[in-house]
Amino acid sequence: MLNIKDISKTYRLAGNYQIVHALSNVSFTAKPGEIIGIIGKNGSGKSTLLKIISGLVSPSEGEVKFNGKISSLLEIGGGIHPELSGRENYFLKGQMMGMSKNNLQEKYEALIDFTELHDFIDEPVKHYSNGMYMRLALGIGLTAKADIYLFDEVISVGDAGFQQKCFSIIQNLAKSGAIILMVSHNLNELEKYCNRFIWLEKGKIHQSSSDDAILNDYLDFQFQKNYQLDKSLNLIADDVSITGLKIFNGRGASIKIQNLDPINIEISLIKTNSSTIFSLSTVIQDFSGLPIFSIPTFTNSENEDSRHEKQLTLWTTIEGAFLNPGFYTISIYLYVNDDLHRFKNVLSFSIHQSENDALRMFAKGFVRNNFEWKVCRE
Amino acid sequence: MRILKKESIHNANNFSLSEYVNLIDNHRQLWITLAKRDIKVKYVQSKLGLLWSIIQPMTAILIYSLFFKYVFKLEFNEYPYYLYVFAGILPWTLFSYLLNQGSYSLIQNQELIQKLNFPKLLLIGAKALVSMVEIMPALIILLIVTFISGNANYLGWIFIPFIILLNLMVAIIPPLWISAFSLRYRDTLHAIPYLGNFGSWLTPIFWVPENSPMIIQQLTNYNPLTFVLYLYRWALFGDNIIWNGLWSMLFFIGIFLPFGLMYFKNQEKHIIDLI
Repeated sequence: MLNIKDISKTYRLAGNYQIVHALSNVSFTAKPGEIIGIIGKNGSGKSTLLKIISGLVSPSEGEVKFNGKISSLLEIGGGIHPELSGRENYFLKGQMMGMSKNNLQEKYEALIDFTELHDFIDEPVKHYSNGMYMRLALGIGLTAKADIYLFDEVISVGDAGFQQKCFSIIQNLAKSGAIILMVSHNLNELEKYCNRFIWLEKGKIHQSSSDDAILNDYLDFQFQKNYQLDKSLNLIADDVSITGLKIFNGRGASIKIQNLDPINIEISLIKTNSSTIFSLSTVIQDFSGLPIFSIPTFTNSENEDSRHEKQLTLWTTIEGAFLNPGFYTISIYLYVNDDLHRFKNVLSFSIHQSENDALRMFAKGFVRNNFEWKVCRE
Repeated sequence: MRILKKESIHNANNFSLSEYVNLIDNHRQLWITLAKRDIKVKYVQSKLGLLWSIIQPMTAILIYSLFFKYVFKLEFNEYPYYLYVFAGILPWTLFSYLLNQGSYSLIQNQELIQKLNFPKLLLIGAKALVSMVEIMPALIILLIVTFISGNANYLGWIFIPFIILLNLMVAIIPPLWISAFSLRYRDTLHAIPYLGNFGSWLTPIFWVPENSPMIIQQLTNYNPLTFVLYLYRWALFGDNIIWNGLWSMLFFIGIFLPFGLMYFKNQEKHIIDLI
């Protein structure tokens, strides 16, 4: 059980006597088995919260009550000494967490196994590669037997295999009753790991939920000020320049795009040489830049006639109930005179949840389809 | 099952004495490990290793003996002068090591402090252990040389561990206060070289109080380390103890040490915010 009660933290800035409220009146309770993802902008108090829970920093007000031990990995390489070997670092850090030597000895094999450092464990850490260093640090944090684990931006290290190993270890820890809190800016990672989310905004809990829809709300909120759905551009690729990109609700009903509405995209172009032939592709990506699908021009033969126009506007429609609610970005790939020009993340847009969406609880992933399940008849 | 696990609380209140003692007790293995780390890191890439801890006092003895015996013609006939200097250099080495290393221990270990939660007093505690380990090789040599030269006061030797403890208690006072104050006022760190420089003269390491002007004798008696040196020389060679220095030592150990520890305890939770 982890009980956070009315935690506030104020700092006094060194030069002037201004007081900064890093956290104000944060309260929540975490139960065994919960993997809590903490989201929030830089400076929203996420790291301070973890530091206070770990006991590293004391709160200005309020208290943290918990049972058992806390293992915290607040930064990769925290407390790892370059002159000492991996083994010595393990024992040093383990003891700092209040573990006994015998206890650490018991877990030593598991550490070697996890970090894959077999031959290197007795080498001074300064000779380690970056990856080995990170595996050691994470290994020490995870091998330590604790009841509460705190991770600050440290989980996504190592290759895919290693990440998979981290994933299953953390899942098992939660299953055996540990509480895990993690801070990350990588929302994909949080979505994968966590079964509860806490969203901090300016040191306060803005929202807290076990539904991962909160991640979309968060992205939407975060980018609200930054996205413009009708953008003037000046992207020059040889003889062709893109002068504008516009995205709007195909129903024209409201500015807000909801997931059941069709989405229209318009691209305005100018050609300096009217005989130039080009093709382009708009790539729809998720918030992290991962491409989901693309709409290339050459599938559209009706554009053939307008190829020689100097100034033209292309438009397309993404039909309603195709993209799920979420935050997306568009990149434009322009192919002119045998050269490919990539304009990345030209525009961002957000698709909101339609109120009358019957599938809102089931439609996971980025896109929907009309594949169906049927009952087998003999 | 899980409910049975010990409940802990993190809040804004300073540690109570019993909480703090418990906390340190839980981390006692760490204390040793930190000391080991300090020693390892210091000597890990030097070929001579712990031999350096002998070379340092030896060169000091050589230089003082040369100058005071042959340049300043110091009169000292009870036993070889180099033994007198040797017995003074040892406690001073321990004192100045702790002064220089212990005072900076919080600032030096900023990274550790910012990432791991442990009682910071152990950082100074570890330096105290290291300082003891550092003088051991030289102490053994001193005992051997004293034995060979035939000036030994064997009965006194059994008190040496106790005297080292007094030596440590006096030596830990300046770093305790300086490091705790250095969080808010880095100025205190500037005091270290002065304490080191003046201290080495205001402690009878290489000169003899009995042959010195009264004012100098009185001044040295305010120095808590003076009596520790008398004790060493009494235990090793059977020198007379000058009791005037006792009060200063008792005063420092009785007042400045416990209050220093209390002050440090109350700083513990603020260290990370201030460093």
